[in-house]
Amino acid sequence: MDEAEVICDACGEERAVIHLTEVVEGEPIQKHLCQNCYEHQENVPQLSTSNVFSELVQAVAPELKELSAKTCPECGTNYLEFRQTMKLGCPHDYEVFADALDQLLERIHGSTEHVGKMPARRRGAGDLTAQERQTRIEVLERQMQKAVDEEDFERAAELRDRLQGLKENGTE
Amino acid sequence: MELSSLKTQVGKWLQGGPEGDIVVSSRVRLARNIRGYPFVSRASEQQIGGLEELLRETVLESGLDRELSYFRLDEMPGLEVEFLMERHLISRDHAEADWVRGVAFSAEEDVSMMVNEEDHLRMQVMTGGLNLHTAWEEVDRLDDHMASEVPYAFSPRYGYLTACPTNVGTGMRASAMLHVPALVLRQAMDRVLQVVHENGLALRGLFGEGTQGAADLYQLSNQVTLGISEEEVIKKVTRVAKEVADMERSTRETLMEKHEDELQDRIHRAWSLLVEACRLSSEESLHFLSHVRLGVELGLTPEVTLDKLNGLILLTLPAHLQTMEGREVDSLERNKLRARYIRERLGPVGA
Repeated sequence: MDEAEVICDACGEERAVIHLTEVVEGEPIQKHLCQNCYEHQENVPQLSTSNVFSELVQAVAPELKELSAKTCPECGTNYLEFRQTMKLGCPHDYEVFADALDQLLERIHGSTEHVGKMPARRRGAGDLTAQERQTRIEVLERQMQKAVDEEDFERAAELRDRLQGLKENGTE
Repeated sequence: MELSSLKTQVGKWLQGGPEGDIVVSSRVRLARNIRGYPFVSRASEQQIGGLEELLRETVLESGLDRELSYFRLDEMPGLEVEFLMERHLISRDHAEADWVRGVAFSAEEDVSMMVNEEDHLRMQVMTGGLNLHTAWEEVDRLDDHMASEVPYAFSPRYGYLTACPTNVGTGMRASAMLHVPALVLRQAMDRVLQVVHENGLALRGLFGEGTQGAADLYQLSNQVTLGISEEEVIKKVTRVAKEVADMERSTRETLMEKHEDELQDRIHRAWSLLVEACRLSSEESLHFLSHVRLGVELGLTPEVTLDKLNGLILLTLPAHLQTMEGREVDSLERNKLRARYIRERLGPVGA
């Protein structure tokens, strides 16, 4: 059937220009309406772009509000401010914005965890704190498992050696 | 060290190395920040001053086994700052910033440490040819020394914390500068870009993002710094650089087989213009120098060496010409100076 031949279901006179599919009790039902009937009919979803947009905004608004409220207590950088410039204010921001940053880092790097080198031990300073060491061990274990899953055994072996070093001597 | 003493020579990294027919140089750069301070963009004047002092003293007085000279960029004439940028001793951002900042570098210009760039400390090591592994080992060693003196902002989870999240993790950028005139002539750079992107790497022109490669020079580098170790990145960039170098070599062979006359003509025209012209713009000279460099590789222009051409590419940039002249010179007069300088270096007297 050619589209031009479809007549409005409501008035039976005008050519139908809106074609809707409603699902009633699991069954799809086709509805064809002319512009006039569509605008005046009740119980028909209105699809104007401004509606779609405002619904979208309402859906993400709580998240936006929450994010924009997030401000680093140390440097005063606000999350939205950061997204405009892509420059963080201080190292502490990485903790404050962790949830949102993880998504961003995943997009940029395809990962959210560091597997490279660690700073050499500082003269006169102690080793990593027990907590830092534990975090590091967990990171490396996850990365090793990922390497095994990807059948990258060379990388897995390297990570295994570093884990062993970290557990035994506190250095990778 | 007097900057003017550098004006007619070039750093060790421009004097060739492995795969030096195509890979001009390799560079590994690390971004580091000091714990307890905001990143530079958020730091107060006082904090920026404190960081500059702390890092300057650490670089110069902590017994680093490389002798470095330190320069305060905010106290230098603009022309000298541009001169350092042309020599790749500082980045464009570092040159253009307007706060207290400096750079320390070795006499051979292979090591450079930028203080108060976007990150508190940016260390780089450059080597000639394709030699990322050596550059990495050297910068790794310098980094260990600095870490033993100052506390880095480091998270066991995210790694080295940087002002921009695109650098977080290793904070490392490994890059190789490639000379690919045959691929450009054959309009095959799309193929190169495909290989580069498939490997998650980036390709930029000599003068940074979005620029078409002046002198057919392109920088190949990693983009990802998180979830991958330094060694893996070094291996990957090295492998892809070799792959592109092989593409360039086979394209050169094809050109020689099928279009030798045309190639000869282009290269000899470039040569004649370089040794005869009275005015040369920067763009022209880079273009001709690139063709002559290809000629040297193909044995068509035996009058000159690769070292000399690599050097000329750098020495004929605007700030270099003006430093040699000892004053600021407008672009028209620079074009005359450039032509004269190249003529003297390549012509019958200089050759």
